[in-house]
Amino acid sequence: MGKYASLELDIYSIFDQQAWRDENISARPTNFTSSNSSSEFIRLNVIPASPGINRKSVSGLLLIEIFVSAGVSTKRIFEIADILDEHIVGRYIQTNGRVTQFASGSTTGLDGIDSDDPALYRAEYNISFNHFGVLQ
Amino acid sequence: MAHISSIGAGLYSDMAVAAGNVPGTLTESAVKALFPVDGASAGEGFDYFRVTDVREFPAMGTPPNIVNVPVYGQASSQQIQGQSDAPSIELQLNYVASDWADGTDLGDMVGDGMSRVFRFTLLNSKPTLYGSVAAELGAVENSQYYWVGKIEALQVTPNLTDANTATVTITIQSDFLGAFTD
Repeated sequence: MGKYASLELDIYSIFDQQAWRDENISARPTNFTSSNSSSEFIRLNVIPASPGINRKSVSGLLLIEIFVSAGVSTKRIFEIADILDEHIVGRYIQTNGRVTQFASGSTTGLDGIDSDDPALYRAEYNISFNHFGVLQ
Repeated sequence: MAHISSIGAGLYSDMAVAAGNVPGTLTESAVKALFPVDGASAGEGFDYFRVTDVREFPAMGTPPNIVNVPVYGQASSQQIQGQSDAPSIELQLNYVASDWADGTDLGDMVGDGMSRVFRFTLLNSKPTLYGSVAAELGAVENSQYYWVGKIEALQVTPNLTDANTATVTITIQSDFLGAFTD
C-alpha cells in the first residue's frame, strides 16, 4: 500500500473505533453523500500538503468541518472540538511499519452559516500530521 | 514491548529521577529497579519522580571529541577519539512553580549535592504509567537511557508574553547506560 492510501486508512481508522462511535457524532469523509440527515456531524478532509522526510513520508493537515444547527450558539462546536482533541491530539497510529503521528495541538475556527444549507453552522478544526515510512 | 521501530517524533519522551541510592554496580537490572511499578513503592527510598512540562530536551549521550593527528608523509591527517569533556544536560521547562518549590520532592533535589540515577525515555506514544516494567513503559515502544548525575541548578526565566520557563541543569557523573527497553 502506498503512503497516501496508508495515510487515509490510518486517519479513518480513528473514526471506525468503538471509542469514537460512543461519542455519537457522525463522521463522514469528504466527497461522500450520506443518507443521514442529522444536523450535527463532522466531515473529514485529509490534506497531504507537504513532502515528508523521505519518499515514503508525507506531511499535511487534517481539516475537519464541524456542522451543528444554526442559531444555537457555538457551545456545541467547541464541545465537539474538545472531543476531537481527545481522540486525535498526539495520536500515534502504527500499521505495517508506517506511522501517522498527529501534532500536540490543534486550532478551531468559526466559519458561520453554511453556504449550502443555511440550517447548519460550520466550523473548521485543524490539526497537522506527519506520516512516516521507513526506507528498506 | 520493544525499542521504537519506526520513524517518528518523541512527543511523549520522559525524564525521571530516582529517589533511591545509586547502585554500587550500574547494570540494567539495578538501574531499572529504581523505577519500579508506578504507585506501588517497594519500600522507603524506592521511588522516582518525573520531570514534567519539559519544553525542550537536549541531545542525549556523550558528545564526541575528535582529535586530528598529523601523520608524516600522508596527504590527510588521521582522526582519533579523544577523551570527551563531561557533558551537562540542560532541560528547558514550562515552569510550574509548585512542582519545584522548596519542600517538594524535586525542589529539594536542586543543589543538594546528592548523586542520583536519572532516566530518559524516548517515547513516540503515550504509556499509561511510567515504571520501568513491561506492564507500564513496556506497554508502548520505548528506549531508555540511564546515567548517574546531580540536579545542580534551576534558573527561572519570567516571561511577560509567553509561558514562564526554567532551565534545569543536570551534571553527569557516569557513562550513559542503554538504550534498554521493557
